[in-house]
Amino acid sequence: MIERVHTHIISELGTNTRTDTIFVLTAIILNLLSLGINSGVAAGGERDGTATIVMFTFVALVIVVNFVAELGLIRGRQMRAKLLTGLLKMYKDQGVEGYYDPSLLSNYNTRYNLFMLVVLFTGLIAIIIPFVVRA
Amino acid sequence: MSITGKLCWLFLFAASLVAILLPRPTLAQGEKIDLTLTLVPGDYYNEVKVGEDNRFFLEVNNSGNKAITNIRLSSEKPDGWVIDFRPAVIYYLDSGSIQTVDINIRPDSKTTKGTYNVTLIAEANEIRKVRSVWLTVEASSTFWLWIGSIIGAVVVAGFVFIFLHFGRQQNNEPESAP
Repeated sequence: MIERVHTHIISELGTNTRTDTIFVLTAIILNLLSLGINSGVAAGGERDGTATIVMFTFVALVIVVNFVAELGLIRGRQMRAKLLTGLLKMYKDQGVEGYYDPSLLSNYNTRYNLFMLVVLFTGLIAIIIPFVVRA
Repeated sequence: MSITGKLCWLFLFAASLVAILLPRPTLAQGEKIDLTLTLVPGDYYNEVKVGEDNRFFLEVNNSGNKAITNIRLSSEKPDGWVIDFRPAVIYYLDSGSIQTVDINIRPDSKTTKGTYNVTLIAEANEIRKVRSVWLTVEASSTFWLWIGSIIGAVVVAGFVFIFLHFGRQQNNEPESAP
């Protein structure tokens, strides 16, 4: 039974990794895409209301997607921590805890924080640069 | 040379002398009414700063030969722009005279970079003259920079809030029993 639980935890960790990768990549790609579109709109000659509406729509999209990505990453980090804690406990019960360094948990935390930082900064650039171009 | 010949030569000499020395008849001139508007420093390229007072001079020149009265100065401008003339009315401008008018152009603070057309109108009792000038907005408006900065600050604050709020929930959650 313990082996099935172990397999399940490993499977959950894999799913968690994939989900987090999707969150990060989606946010970054959308940020860059929005940066290009909004910069193009801002640099264009059109200064009417339509251009402003398009810009602010993309800004709203960037904000929503970035917040969703951040929430997803936070939840992913928490889930990973719980799964790894369970895994460590399992290893400890089996007497093989020496093969898994508990500091990996904090490493994962740092990695998640860095992912969130990347998402935040690309989002900030996607928001601010078009306004600078437009000014 | 006979006397008749001498008289002929004398007559010709006198006639030539009269033709040369007599004043030419003066041609009667028609009334010409004309007004010239010149923006100083130039009509074609003038740089203006957004949301600030930009001072220019308008030379109103009566290039006709008749005095022009009651010249009212006005303008057609982009929305939100303010253009002031000092003086706004020239009550009398003699022929050949030039009157300099101070112009203060204040573009709207939301104006973006670009070239804008402004029409200066001088409407007198005798004549109406229009002058089109191009103004280039080079200095950037800080309006959109502020908007971008405010949105950026809100996003950062939101990120920090979510990070602290939802990140802390992990610690607050009761540990499940093994």
